Amino acid sequence: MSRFVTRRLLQAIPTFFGITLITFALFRLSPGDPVDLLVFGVPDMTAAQVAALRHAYGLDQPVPIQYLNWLLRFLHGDFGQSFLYHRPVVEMIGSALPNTIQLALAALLLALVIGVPLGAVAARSRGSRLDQAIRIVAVGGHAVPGFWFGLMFILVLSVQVPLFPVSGMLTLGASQWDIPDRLWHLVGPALTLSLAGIANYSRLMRTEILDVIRQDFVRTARAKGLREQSVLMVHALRNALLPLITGLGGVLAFLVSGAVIVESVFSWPGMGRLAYEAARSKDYPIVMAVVVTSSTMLLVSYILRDIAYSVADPRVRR
Amino acid sequence: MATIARPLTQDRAAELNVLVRKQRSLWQDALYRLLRNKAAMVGLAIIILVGLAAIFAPFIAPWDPILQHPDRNTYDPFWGSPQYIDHRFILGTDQLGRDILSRLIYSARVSMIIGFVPVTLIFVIGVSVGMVAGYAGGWTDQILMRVTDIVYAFPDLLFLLIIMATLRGTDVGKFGGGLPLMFVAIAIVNWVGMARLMRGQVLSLKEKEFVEAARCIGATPSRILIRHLFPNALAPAIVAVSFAIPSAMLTEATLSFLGIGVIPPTPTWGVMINEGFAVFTTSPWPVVFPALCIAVVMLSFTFLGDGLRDALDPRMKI
Repeated sequence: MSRFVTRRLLQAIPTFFGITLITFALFRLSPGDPVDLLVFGVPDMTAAQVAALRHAYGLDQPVPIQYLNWLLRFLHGDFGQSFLYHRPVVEMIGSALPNTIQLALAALLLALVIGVPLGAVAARSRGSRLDQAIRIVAVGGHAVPGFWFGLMFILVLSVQVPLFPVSGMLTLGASQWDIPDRLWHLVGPALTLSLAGIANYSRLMRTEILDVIRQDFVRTARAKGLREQSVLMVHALRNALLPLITGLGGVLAFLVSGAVIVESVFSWPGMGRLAYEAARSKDYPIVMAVVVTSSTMLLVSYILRDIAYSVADPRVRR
Repeated sequence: MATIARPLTQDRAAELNVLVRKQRSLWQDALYRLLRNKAAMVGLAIIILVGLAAIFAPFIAPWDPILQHPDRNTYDPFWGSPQYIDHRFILGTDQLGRDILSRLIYSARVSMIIGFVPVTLIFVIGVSVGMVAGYAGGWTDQILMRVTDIVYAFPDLLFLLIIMATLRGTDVGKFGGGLPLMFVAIAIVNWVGMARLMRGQVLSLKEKEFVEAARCIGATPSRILIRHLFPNALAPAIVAVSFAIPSAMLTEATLSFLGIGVIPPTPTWGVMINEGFAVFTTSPWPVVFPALCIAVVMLSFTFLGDGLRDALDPRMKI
């Protein structure tokens, strides 16, 4: 087991460097750099001053050297400074990351709490109108773009009928620890982000339960005279939940990715919005940091998933 | 699939008779099952309809999609109040006075192209990499799989965001209204799923007797890959393609909505939503119609994909 984990961790190292290399290359090999942006606001700068600025930031060196410089600093825990905000990148990530995690966890929770019972109900009444209706909801959840649902939420429940806030995490001036206010702001983004998860989980759950129901131990449970309710909810459901737990890695991947859109729609001050704004203004120290943190989160979740799989099914350990 | 214990009734005899008269291959069987699936057929019909609209856009669209009528902006569809409608603009106009119906029809073009071109790239790259990695094994497999790991561990949208944000402003990115860049970006991010799928297929198939038999009679590796393994691994790849198409369309819509996708004035559903949003409270139609189009096309592809999966892999059907 420990050998398996070690191997997966070692495999993650080249993956990790590959990701940073690709991102860095994309940013530094495409025309334009952050200094252009700085100069843009100050038209009376001389060419010599611009060159000095480039030199100060190390942007005049060959790109491979720049990458190595970045890597060296990164290995010392230094992500550098944002060109746009003139703040240490670590500080900015530090304030954005908890917000994204909060959003992703809320969405995951919603997906589980809504998706799993929907799937169980659909499996229980398979073939009925209810099953059909849940199927339509599930397919719709896949088919409707996340950003579209988010916009509709804002328009209907924030603008037309002002029940929920339009954007942001907290009401202006509210305390950091005003939990009800936070939750109130969380409803829209979390629901939007969880939409695809709800659809996924309800379908997966339905398939799994119907699969489990055909197995011998369920027949045994029925044969010994248990009520259908307890056969389904205790015997079938518990076994059908296993693949959901092992499948969490993939869902996390989706949430990390999907957060980019939801955060832009709801102006949620998280990693996605930070990356979006930084990428548009070529502020590459921020983008590199966002890429590093979010792909580390992904890699860790994949490894955890693989470990969960290998515990459930020792054959994959080879 | 009748069980052996079943007596040879007349029904069974008739069934056998049919089998003798007309032997169906796996593919004919699948086609037969697909044709009987109503939801899939409705989906296919809608897709064909949208496809035809896309091909014949110049002939059926009443207006030039980028022709502006500043004196006739934000008109309602034909059922609106008389002072805000114009019978020449059936579905009304957007804030620049462009005919919504014509823009919808031309957008179908972009969506269809975005659906098919990158997915062809995904299919070609994914299938070749996956099959070669799975069949060759050893170092080839290790290297190819580490490369797919890199892309796999990159959060999808973040990767797309970075590619589009860095390259969209360059000459390469502006070429062809930004479409070619979008093709490549979507293909780069999505080929890994196909590669992993095909690798798994080949890994499980290459130990089978028919492959061994082919090897025994001296078939070259490339012949085994193309003539023996490829047709047998094709079914899941087709299902994956049918889901990759709507996902590529959705990606385009999302990126265009965020303002980093297709470059205006080229109309696409995503661009239309992005632009129409500014006037949503005055007139919701410039947003509602393209959103509806996206949802309907997504649903159609989902139904078709479900139908294909059920038809090609009857074991999955419940």
